[in-house]
Amino acid sequence: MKRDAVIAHVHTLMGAGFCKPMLTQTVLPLTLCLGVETAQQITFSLAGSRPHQRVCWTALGIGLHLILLGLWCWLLTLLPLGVAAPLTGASYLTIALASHFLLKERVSRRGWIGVVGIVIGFALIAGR
Amino acid sequence: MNPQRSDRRRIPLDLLMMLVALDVAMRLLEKAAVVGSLQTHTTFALGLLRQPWWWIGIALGPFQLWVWTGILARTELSIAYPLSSIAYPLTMVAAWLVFHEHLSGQVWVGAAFMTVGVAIVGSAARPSVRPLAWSDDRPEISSTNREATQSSAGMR
Repeated sequence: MKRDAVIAHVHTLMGAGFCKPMLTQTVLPLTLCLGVETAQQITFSLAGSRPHQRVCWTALGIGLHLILLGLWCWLLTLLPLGVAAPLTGASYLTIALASHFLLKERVSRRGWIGVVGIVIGFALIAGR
Repeated sequence: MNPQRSDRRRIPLDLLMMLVALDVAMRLLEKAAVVGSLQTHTTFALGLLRQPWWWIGIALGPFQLWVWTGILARTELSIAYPLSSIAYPLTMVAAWLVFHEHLSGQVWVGAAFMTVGVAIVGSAARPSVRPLAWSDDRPEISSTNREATQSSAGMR
């Protein structure tokens, strides 16, 4: 990348001139971020509920955490921190859904109200 | 409600403030590392590993985990969790102050919804407050395990 392009990109990162077209580029890293984080929470939950497999699930969870760190940095190259940080809050939605469907855990009515709040917030931030 | 329970409903504000500060600081350090890495002429990953900000952020991780387990030892998850979601708007304020990010009104409103949503989901996290949160038909999963799971959820 030429120096001017790098400077332009850094300016974009700093928030100046950041515009909507970049949103499409963020779909993949954001989806991966949420997916990996959800998978990580599932593994930690399994580590807790299956004592005889605890080491395996915990090791997998730590491995996923490292992958998540890389994905988060990828996301930060595309979105300002002030936008990326609240968007990652959507992981609570995916974790709630995953625990409901995969782990057969019941999510309370209050929990679902919170999930609606997260969806509205996510839509507002993503469609800014 | 027994005395021990009422004691656990007291909020350890000092630890919570430390947790939120650490959370915001780690996000800022990661952002600084990413910006620094993009300014180098090596590959992104290699540039990242050469950033001191990156390693400081990594080093704060275990400390943050220690603070969070300290909070959970002193109060209930359903109280600690909603309060810790304040880290989202504070990260945005910090990003605005430190990196001069311009965030639209819509993003702030969205973040408010997100914060409240996460707080509500978090407040439903323990059976001691709202019995519907976790299924009773899985007795093999103790509340301690729930805490362990939830604590790692906050450690991103």
